[in-house]
Amino acid sequence: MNSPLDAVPEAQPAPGAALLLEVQHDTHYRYATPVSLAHHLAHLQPLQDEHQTVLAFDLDIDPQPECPVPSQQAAQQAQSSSAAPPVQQFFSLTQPHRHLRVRASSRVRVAPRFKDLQPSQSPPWDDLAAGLRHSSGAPYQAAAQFSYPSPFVPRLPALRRYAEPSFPAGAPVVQGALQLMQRLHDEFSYEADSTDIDTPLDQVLEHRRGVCQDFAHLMIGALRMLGLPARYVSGYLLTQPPEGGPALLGADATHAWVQLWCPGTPGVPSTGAAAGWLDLDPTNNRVPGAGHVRLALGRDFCDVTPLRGVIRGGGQHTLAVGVSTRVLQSS
Amino acid sequence: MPFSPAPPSPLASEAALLAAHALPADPATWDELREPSGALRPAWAVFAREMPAVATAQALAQDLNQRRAQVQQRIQADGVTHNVFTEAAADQRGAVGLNGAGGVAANAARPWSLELLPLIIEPADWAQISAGVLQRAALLEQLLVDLAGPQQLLHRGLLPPALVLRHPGWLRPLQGHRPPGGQHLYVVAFDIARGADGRWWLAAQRTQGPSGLGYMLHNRLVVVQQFAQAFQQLRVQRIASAYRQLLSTLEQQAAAVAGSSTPRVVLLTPGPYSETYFEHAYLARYLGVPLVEGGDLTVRGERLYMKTVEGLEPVHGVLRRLDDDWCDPLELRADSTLGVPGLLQATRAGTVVLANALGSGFLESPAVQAYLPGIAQHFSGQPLLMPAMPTWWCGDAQAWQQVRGALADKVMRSTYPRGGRASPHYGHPEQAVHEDADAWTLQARLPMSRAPIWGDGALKPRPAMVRVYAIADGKGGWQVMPGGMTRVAPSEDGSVSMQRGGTSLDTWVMTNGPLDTYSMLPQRLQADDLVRRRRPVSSRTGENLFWLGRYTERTEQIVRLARTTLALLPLEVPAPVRLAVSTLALRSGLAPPGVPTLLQSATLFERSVLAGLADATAAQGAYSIAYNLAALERAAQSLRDRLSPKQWGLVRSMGAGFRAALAGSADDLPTPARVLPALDHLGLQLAAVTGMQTDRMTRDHGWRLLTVGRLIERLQGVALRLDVFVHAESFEKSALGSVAGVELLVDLLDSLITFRARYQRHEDLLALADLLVLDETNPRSLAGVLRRLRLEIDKLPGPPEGLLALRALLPAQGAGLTLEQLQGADDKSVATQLRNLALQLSSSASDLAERVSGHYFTPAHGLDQRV
Repeated sequence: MNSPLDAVPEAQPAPGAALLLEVQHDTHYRYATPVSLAHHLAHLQPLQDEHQTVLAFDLDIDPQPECPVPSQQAAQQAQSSSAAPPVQQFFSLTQPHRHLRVRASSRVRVAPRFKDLQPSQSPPWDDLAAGLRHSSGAPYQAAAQFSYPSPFVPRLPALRRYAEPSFPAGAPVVQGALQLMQRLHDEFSYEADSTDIDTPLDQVLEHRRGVCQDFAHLMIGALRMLGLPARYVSGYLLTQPPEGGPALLGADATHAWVQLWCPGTPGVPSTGAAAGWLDLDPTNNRVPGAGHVRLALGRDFCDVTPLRGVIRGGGQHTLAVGVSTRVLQSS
Repeated sequence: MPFSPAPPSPLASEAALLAAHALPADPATWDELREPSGALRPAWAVFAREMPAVATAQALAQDLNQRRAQVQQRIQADGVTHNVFTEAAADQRGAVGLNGAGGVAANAARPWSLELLPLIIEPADWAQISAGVLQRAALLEQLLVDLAGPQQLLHRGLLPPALVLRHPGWLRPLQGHRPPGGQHLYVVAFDIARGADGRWWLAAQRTQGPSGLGYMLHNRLVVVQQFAQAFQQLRVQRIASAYRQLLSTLEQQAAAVAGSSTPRVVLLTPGPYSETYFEHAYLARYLGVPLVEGGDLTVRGERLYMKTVEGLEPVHGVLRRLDDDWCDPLELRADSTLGVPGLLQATRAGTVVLANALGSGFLESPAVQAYLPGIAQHFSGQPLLMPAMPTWWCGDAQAWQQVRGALADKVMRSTYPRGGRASPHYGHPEQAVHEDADAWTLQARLPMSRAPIWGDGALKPRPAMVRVYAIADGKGGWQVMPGGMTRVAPSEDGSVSMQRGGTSLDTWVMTNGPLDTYSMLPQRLQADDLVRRRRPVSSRTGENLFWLGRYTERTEQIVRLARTTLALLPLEVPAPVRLAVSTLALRSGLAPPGVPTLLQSATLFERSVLAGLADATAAQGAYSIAYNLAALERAAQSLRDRLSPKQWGLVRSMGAGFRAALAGSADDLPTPARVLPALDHLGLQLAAVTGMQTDRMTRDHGWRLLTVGRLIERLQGVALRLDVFVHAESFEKSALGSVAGVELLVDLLDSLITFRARYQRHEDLLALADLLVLDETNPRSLAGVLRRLRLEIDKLPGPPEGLLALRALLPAQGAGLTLEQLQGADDKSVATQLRNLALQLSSSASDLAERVSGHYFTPAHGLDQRV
């Protein structure tokens, strides 16, 4: 799903510039034998908040689903200000088919974020973690749910040990997280196809190599072992087109990074859907700006898989994914 | 423990006789049998008095031993089983193949374990239990309503978020969604035990698909039979109406989502390999709802349907025994093949009612108990009437500080479910809590009361835990089922678990009030009920019935062939006949491939036939009698909600009886002298099974498929026999060239009596053709089988074009051959025509079987995969 290109540094927009981006995301399944029935769930529509506006979105499915189901607002977090509900699309195919092609086309305006980030002014990480413990009597924080283990990010004591050197007592949480990101970036090697989505996290940690998903899961796991809320961001990364030409169609890939909960940090939104959350991209060791398009947020990959399905029949299948991102306008 | 029975005395009271057998209970616990003085408790004194009069303690012991044996026999006879998991198998639960007619059980099916004596609960105790349970059930429902809405409990810190949001039973895709009808829980089970002070305490609660309701019902039937008088005298409450309540609550809610159509309710089971499959089938039969597996259901356009032999039928209510996270592989556990992809969409859309609604699994965490008292105060201002065993969640630093110094009398439990059934592994509690405090919960140990069980000539005290059930009425009210599933530990100090050798007790709840004598079975039905109770036949059930028909017929044929073959061996018969018999034995599976024919080596042939008979797994290549019996049993096993207990019992005892009859020393082959009577007996049993299938089953579409299966198998059997007997270089060299061959073939097709009565010259091939091919009145002639097959095909469900296409595979009339065509032809030409007909019909039968399968069954099969 990821090509080495997602390790390429993002295109550098002019500081403070918003970008108008067009993304095309193709997913193509080919089945050895006919699939008689298929139910699918897609997280392919970019999310919408103060920093990201979806101007157009289209989902083109071939073959045409017989029972298209309207988009659902799922996982509504009652009273939660932590995130706008992700938009999901369900569809099913009830006629035998040998292939499925899903093409998601989005046009998104992304504003720059975290311009005035002041890591040293972020709250001490240990106070933040302690405030989420039940006995402290602290008010309920919906973000606490992202400090718990999740299907792809189990609790691993080794991850705590890995994270601890970056988080001395009383250290500002963002400073610690930036250092942790730096270390992950330096100490792990990006190797396409070195893992698949079922590679357990402890193996990634042991072998010190993986792809963006793995690094996101590792960093999330390490932060959570300290009691800090961290979540998984599925999205796209604008990559530098080859000199003098348009971006290569399909050469890009889906990307994944991390959000850390650090309310009160200067430079991190204090209101709105993204209040308190800071994006961190351990694959590229950077704080995302306008070149990172966010699709969906979850505890880990399993909550926001771009496209999945349960099919009957089909035998062996092949899967091809192609993403292309293009700057329409920089302002 | 030393124990001496009281001296026999004709004057001794019954109570004294019973008490004389009682071993002392741990004085630090409550004794259910005796007062502290040693006298029987009043209820037990009545119980003793109502037992059949015996004069001595010894006679009493004998009587109880006998009854205990009867209880066990009844459980055997009714086939009440319980699947026991090995740890490894438990981890792989759900990954097991679930093909109804095939597949091999990964776990051991054990006979259900039921004790002779009931646990008796007196009215005052029941009043305490009942009030406590009602309050708790209502509280849990209120809690779920809050969490699906305003989540006050989280915001006010009354329930730690980690107990909800970290629990895998909290289903994120359903957050913020109220279930259709607004009801979350329909049935909740509470495991309770009595402390040394006589009070009842809550140990655990089950909110997903609590088990035990079916076993409890069967326990009651069996135990009451033993002690009918005591049951009357003690005024024991009946439990049937609570089952009716459960069903009618669900039906009401289902009716609301069904709108104008008739609501359809099903019982969803994980399948034959689940721990409590017996009771799923038992309950489905009792409640009159179809038993379905995930593969029998499908979601189309946000609605749930059942795949039936008549096409997709809407389903509006699901009584489920499948745990939450297995229910929908699209949005929940991806490795589950047990659920229904899309089910969550249907439930969010409000088109189907699940009982219980999904997403209550987190309430099963022991840690929740620590917070329920505060939650009860918050909602109602009332304390909880029934206490839970004192509980400390280690994730609460204050709670942990409070107990960390006093762990000796506490049990450390896992806050969250772990994979498999393994007990939680942790090193030192301090270390475990340091690593992940949220994951651990401490509970005080409760010295459970001791209930008497009868065994080895003594009343033995055993720690007892009672599971009681609350049933919702759908209008905000709750009813406690007046009974329970009591389990006792296998030893005085063991833990209570049916998986770990525990055993169950019927639970008698006494009342001072009126008795509810409602019975589920005889009731006046409305016209609507009749429509509703016409159960649709799921594709899987249809397929199993089809195979039940085929295997029954196939087994009958092979048993007859085995008898004929073994009886023939010592006789002088012409070579072509011997050759035909060995060919037939080979092609029917009686002899393994590659074995010398009867002509080449009669001894080797006989040995391999004898060796194959009892080989249930066809390990030596012979698909012989035991193999077919096992296949028959598997098909019947999957149909337990439809077959009468008699038929199922007979099917099981055929296999067991045949194995027992042939069992001998390992390298010793059974002799024909031993085998032949066993075959005769088996033949009679099979005739009885066939009789039940023909005469005692409702003639719905399922029955029709069973019959079509049987007839297809018979068509193949007759055609095969005809082919083998007529086939040779020349007619004279065929088995039918001799009187012995003709008679043998006629006998194999069970038509010898008619043949002898009707025809004088037995070697007349035309006579044979008339009886075995053309005669429509002979149920074993080709024309007779085809006539019935055509009749049954016409009555199968589906559009007329489809049925016509099926019929087109068969000759339009008769056997496709007429007497005119045969008249005047010489034997050779008749033989050729017969053989051609046999080959053609054999292939028609295969085509028909394939078409029927494709048309009626295929949708239920094929494995789902996640991509």
